[in-house]
Amino acid sequence: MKKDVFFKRMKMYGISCCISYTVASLILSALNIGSTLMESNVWLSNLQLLLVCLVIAVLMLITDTIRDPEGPTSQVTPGYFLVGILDVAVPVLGMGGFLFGWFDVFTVQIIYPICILLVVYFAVFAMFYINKKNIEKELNRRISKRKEVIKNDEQDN
Amino acid sequence: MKIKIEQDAVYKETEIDIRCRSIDDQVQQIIDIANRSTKTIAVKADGASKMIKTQSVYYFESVDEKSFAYCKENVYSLDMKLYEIEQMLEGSSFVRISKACILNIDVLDSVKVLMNGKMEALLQNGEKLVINRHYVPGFKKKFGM
Repeated sequence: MKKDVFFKRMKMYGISCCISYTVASLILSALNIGSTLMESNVWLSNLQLLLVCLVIAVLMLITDTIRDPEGPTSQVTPGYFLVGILDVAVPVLGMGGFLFGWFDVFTVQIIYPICILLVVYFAVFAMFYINKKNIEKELNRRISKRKEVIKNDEQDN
Repeated sequence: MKIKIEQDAVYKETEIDIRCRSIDDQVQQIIDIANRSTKTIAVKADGASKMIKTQSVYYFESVDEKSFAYCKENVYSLDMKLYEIEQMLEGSSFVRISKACILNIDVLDSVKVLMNGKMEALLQNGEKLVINRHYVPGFKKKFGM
């Protein structure tokens, strides 16, 4: 794998880590779940949440590199989403459930973190999608501007 | 901007020298106009060689180690390799978009960003070409992004 591709990937998953941490924090605050799921102390809970987000980003970086060594993203297929969700689910359920004890993995309570992780996953995906659409919009604006210049140039000649 | 023209019979070929502090939008436009009106390329049509303006070419493509120039209505074959064409067209409105294709951005109608990191270019003749993700940064750079 080329150096620039690796750094591009690192940057992308670094950003995704920050977005997922922010979105997860916002959801937990909005639902006031932090008080029950992360009762010890806020500083430690936030650190644990950041650690989970970091592990997710590293896992995604690894699976993405294995799946497609050439580029920063892979084909968007049902398999892409499945692997992505698994990348999120394993650290959240494993670290959050077993290591940090945020919730009981063996009760119906597990449905809440699953719902939250799905929302976070698709929120991060949506952020990247919006960014791509903005790039597309800006490129098309510049193409239109260029077409106008060429048209004027042809008329002048 | 100063424009200086030296007319003399000693010059065998018309030459344009641009002296500037940096290549800004205005200078780039002048370069593009000069390239559009001057550059030609030798192609083969029905066994005979002829010169066509590079600006009339929509894109160059390499198929089975043979190079082709795709114009609005005609397709010509070329004796040059794709990398030679790329070198020749450096600084013009042409940009490499895949291993086998060099696109003229002046014939672009629009682009679409695909979710797999690639882009799809829609040409003015309705043709669609895929910009491989490896070449996307170079493509965006061509538009100053």
